[in-house]
Amino acid sequence: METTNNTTVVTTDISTTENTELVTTVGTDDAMGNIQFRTDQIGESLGAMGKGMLGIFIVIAAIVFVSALLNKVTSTKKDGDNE
Amino acid sequence: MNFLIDFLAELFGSFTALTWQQVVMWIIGGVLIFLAIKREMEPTLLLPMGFGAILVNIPFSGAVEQLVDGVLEHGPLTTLFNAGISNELFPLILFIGIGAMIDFGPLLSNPKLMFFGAAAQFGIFITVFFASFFFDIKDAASIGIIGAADGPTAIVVSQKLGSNFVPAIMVAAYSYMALVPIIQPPVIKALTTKKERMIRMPYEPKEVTKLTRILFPIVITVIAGLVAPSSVALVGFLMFGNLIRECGVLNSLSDTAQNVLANLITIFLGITIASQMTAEKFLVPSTLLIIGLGLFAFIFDTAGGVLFAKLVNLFTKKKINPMIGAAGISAFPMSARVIHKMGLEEDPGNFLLMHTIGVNVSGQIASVIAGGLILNMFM
Repeated sequence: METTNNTTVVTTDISTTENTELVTTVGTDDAMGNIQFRTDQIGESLGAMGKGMLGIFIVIAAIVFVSALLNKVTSTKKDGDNE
Repeated sequence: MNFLIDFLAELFGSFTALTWQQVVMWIIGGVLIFLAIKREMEPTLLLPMGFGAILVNIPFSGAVEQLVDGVLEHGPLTTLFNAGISNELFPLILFIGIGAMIDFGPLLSNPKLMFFGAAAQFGIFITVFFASFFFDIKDAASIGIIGAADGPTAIVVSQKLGSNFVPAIMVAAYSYMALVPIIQPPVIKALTTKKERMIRMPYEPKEVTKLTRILFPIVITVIAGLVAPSSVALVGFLMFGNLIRECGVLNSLSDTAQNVLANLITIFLGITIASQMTAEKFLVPSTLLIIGLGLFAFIFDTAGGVLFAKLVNLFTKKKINPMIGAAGISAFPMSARVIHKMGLEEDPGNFLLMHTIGVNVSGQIASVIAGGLILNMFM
């Protein structure tokens, strides 16, 4: 271990190990195989449910408003051009 | 004689490595192929997935990455997965094609239909809640997004959240999209009366100018991007495809996006998703639970849209046929056709198609926004 300009650099000897098995599974065996009932996330998930639905409706309301405005403005412009 | 025995042992050595779990996956692959060909259920996706499931569950399959005698053998499906799924590239490119296929005209002539699309995303969030009893919150959110009824969104969200259950989520999302004609009708009939299902909705089209059609995808991208920056890729690629369609000066690109590009990516997507359907990843109890939760999501999507329509009817004089709320699920255009057909069964003179198409298309937008909100909340 050496210290240079207030930065500590750690060097470690890496010894080779035999690669005996290629792990291609995603996640841990526990995560994949065992199902455990848990209640520690109720608050977070309920909050996400509320925020999610509210968020969707707010964004959609904004899009509806803008779409209606676009329809009105462009059709007014078209009527103006026709006149 | 010994030579013959040794030769046969070497030739058919893989048989000894075959497990019953791999045989089960062959059967599952066969079922997906059967559903695709015989029942014509989303054949563009189920057939490549079914065949891919068989490919990757052959012992020492050269189609996927394998360590053989200490040497890493690269498999094309693993290469494709790394090239296009783990970085979410394939589903995003597919979204360009999907955007080019969508006509937002019926929706733009009655923008209020978009609220039904929003309501029909209820299944996503209630599934996140119930999934959180069994899975880590990010995995629960990834499972909930099955309710978006949109394969690309499900892939992008579950990959970005680093879910441990991407294979099961992808298979559930695509399989249930194909099962919409089976899932939705019983739910709709349970929540509505015959009188409600017979409500007529005459179609009064309003003209939508070309300028509106051109500005709409740009405006949506900006609004959705400002609210949920993580969704810019999803929304942006979808709307880019739509802009190519609507601009009127890129007809050849629009045609390519809708046909060649979409078909090409679909081929790669289907078979590459299957690369994750190895027996050891797929045949675990959590897969069954995820598939069950996926069904739950679709049911509550349908219920959310229908119940919202019934709620609106309490406050409006001009009644809405509540069935159109169910078309807010993003399975486009299947859901629209299913509900239109249900309307005709109740009343042969009731043409709901233009309304259901408008709601169905709004569901596509709402599901992508829901995906963006999920990413915003959990990334």
